[in-house]
Amino acid sequence: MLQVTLGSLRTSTRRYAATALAIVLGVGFVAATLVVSATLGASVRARITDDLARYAVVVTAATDGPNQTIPASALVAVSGRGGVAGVEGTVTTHVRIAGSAENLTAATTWHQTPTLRTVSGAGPASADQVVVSTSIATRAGLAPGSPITVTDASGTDRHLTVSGVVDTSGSGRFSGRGLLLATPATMATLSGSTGLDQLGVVGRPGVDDAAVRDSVATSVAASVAAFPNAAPPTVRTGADEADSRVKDALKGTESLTFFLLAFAAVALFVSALVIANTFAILVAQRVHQLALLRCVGATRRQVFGSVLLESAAIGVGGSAVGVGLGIGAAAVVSAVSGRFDTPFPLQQLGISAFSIVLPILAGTLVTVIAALFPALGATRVAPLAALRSEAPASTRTRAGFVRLVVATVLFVGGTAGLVLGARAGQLAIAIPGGMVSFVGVLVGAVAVIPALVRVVGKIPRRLAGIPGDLAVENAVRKPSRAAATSSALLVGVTLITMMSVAAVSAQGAIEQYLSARYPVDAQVTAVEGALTAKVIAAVGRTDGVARTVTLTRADLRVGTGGGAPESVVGVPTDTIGSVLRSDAQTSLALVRPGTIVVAGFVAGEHGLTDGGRTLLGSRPVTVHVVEQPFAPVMAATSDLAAAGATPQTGTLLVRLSDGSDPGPVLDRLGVSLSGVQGVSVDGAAPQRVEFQGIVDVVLLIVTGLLAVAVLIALVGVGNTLALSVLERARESALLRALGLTRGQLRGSLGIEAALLAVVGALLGTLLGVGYGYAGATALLGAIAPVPLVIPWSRLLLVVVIALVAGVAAAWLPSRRAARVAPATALAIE
Amino acid sequence: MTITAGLRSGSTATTGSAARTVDLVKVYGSGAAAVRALDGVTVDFVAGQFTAIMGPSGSGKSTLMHCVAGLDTPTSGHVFLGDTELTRMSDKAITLTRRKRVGFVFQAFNLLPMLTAEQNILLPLKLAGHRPDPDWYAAVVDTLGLRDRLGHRPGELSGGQQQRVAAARALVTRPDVIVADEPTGALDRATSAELLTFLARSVADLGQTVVMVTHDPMAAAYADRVVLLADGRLVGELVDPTNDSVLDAMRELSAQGA
Repeated sequence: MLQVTLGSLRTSTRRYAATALAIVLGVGFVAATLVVSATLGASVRARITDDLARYAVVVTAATDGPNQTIPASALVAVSGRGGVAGVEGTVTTHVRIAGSAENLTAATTWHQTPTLRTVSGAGPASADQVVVSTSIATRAGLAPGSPITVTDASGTDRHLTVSGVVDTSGSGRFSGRGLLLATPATMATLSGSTGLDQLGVVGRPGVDDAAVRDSVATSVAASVAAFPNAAPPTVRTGADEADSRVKDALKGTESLTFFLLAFAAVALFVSALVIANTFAILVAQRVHQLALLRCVGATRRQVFGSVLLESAAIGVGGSAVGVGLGIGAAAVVSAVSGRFDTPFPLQQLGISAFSIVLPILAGTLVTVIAALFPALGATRVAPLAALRSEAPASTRTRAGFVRLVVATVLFVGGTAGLVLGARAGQLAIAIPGGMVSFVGVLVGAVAVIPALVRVVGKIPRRLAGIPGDLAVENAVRKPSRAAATSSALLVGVTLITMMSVAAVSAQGAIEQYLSARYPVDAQVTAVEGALTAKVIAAVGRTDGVARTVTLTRADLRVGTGGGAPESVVGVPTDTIGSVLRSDAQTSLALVRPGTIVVAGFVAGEHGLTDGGRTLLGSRPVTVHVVEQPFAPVMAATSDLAAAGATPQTGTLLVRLSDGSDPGPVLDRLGVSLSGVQGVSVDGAAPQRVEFQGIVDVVLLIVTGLLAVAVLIALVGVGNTLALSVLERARESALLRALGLTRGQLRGSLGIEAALLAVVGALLGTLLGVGYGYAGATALLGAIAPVPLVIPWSRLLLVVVIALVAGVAAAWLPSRRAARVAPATALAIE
Repeated sequence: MTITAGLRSGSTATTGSAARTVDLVKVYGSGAAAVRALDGVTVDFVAGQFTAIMGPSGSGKSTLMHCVAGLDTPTSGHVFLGDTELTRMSDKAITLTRRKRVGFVFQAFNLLPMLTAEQNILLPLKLAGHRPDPDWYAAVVDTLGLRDRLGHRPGELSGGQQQRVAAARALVTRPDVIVADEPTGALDRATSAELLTFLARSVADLGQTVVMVTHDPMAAAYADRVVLLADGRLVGELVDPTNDSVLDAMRELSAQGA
């Protein structure tokens, strides 16, 4: 029997090519995921180890407890211990750097270390010198010698000088972030305390790290004991500390790995559909061969074993190639991303036995499982089939009644759950509901897909005449095959559409929320009186600023009951609309001459009611109570003067030009306003853009990952068609004999593939829109109304790609079919 | 090599020829494995006649028929359909000529399983973009007794019914020549006789031209003329054959071959 298996493997290599390709792609995905994640782990480990390599012992401040810092006295005490060559104390805090839109920048103590590469200048030689990372230098336009204004935790501005710029990409702790480094004295000033959060102890050569650790631990414990309520710091050898930090750092990458593996699982699932389909066709084609085997004495079990063995051989072979491909892909990803300073470092390729064995096992298992049903089908071949000259024609298998009932129940029930979950904002109900309903679709595909092919097929029937008719009839001839082929594509397209619609709809909801919450791109505040006409003009001239509107401010009594004056913000009602993002939903737009807007709590204090009349100073006005207004009390600027106050210049509202990158614009504003007393530039614009950027990148990555599944599905379309072409060789020959031209035959096969692809893509798009919108609603419905945003161009692109790829997949098989002379094909027995 | 009894050498047609070949050679494979399936065959198929091509297995009779019908391209020599030379045409032109001027009946795999009998019959007309002549179509369907089978798919028809559908399909375009390759090969005697009678009638009554490949002397006896082939060469012909004369000729051929 083994001989037979080997023989058929050898002789039908070409038929297995596409099956193997599906396995290779799916397994390659799994392997690449594992290798990338191992690489990530190895690179993180390398960086963290490099950070700490110089230290025999590391003392780390406790991360919780009332007093978390290590007292400065501990540094002195540790320095004096035997075996200690030196101690480097480090404290890290957050500061604000003028001219950088980054709200908070990490600041830490400078030590000469190999993981911080000096790009220009030198380390800080005195207390007024600091070093900045390349990212800060670029954003704030700094170079060695530049003055820099640093606002510390207490809000005090420090005027310092940049002495050098360092590249942080080699550091496990600070890569990918802005960083300021200063001398211990300066850091004490910036952090407002002499306490430290890390002591790096350099040991003397030849002294055991553990011995140093014990000695240091005693000394640290004694120093800490002097402070009541102090949380004890941890003392570990450098190697132990590195291990512990690597563990913490990799917690995030584990979820990343699972995230990627989920997509790899989708790819494998699609591969399984393709493989099952292929084997079913292969078994059908070999009916004679299998029957002959039964005739000469093979048992059912042997036939079953033979087919399964074949699948296992292909599974192992394809998987091995896939692992190679995956490692190659991971190497390329690492090489490319290694050039950028990303928070996910990929430097050394990490290939473990696990990342080779697991994908091969998974790939082989999936292949064998996928081949199970076709193998069972092979056992049902009767020995007599060998004697019949042709397989019984027109084997139209209708979808079983039970199957349809099950599919309907699953789909209706699942959809109900999904809708319920979406309405209630419960992802825990919506997700299983959606999955059950999709399983229902897959189960019912045998009936749904051929029906859809007939509907969509009306177009080619009308346009392409006979080749169109033939294509439709051939496509629906074996409903199970049509269903499996289209379903493979359906899975990928549904997921891509779902992700797109969910992301875009969620983005719409969150943008509405952000616009309502932060109606203004940016606002400039300063000490009262500091925003002079000249400063305002300078802001207006800044590149990237579209318009500015100045709010005013005055102290006025509100209400009729007396009490202390309120700080009332004056809104220029005629121009305010020009700087607002979303005028319908912001309190700023509700202010009218004669109408004031007050916060709920202010209304309560003064006994005001919504819609009631009251006094603003001496002016009678209507009250509009709003829960969370832009400012507690707002009135029209004209009303402030009319009420008898002298309005002062208040906050400056800024609308940025559309299409400008808000981060740099705010950086420029910061630079041009750096002389103004108490100035601060705030804005939601960078967050908004950053958020959009994240959504776009996530969408791109997810689409890219799912594209692998779609690619496998398209291989499946081509494969199914190629095998059906072989199966239908005589039919094609007959058609050619009767007058079908080569072009028409090719066209017919192309239309057949396009029909299967387009039906899968259309159905997937339809389902994806529903699932995506429901998912977004379940996730965000409680926070904000979720608009149904359909990314038409993207969806159209998916369908067009499916159409084109389907036709392309048919190209090779149809050429092969058309090339054969009719007489040759007719002669095949 | 000439067979004497009841034979007439040459094939000078009194009426026009529906198809003819000149020095037709077809070689399969190359080098040591090369097989000369046809080795210089010159033959004329007279319009309005029922011609049978006979010969032992491997004599090249199917290859000859395939070349005449434009299903296969000869290695050298000429094939004419009426006055049109097929051997000078592109594949597309041959295909278009074929669907207008040649009708086919094969031994098996005659029908497309996904089409109904009616769709199968009308397929060549549809491919050519022509409408069927309703009277002719009705005559063909009724003559073949297929009226109540038109909506069935091939899987639901008996072997004889399938071959009758194939014959109807060949006739419906009123081709210059109907080519039949062992049309009775898969049929029992009674059904065979029925089909052959019909083919003969379509020649006699409807003026069609039929060329049939067969190895069954009974079938050949229905023809007006039998062309004998052996080892890729034309070795003679019989006019107005009977079952006995065909059997004699075949016996003589195999005796010479042995």
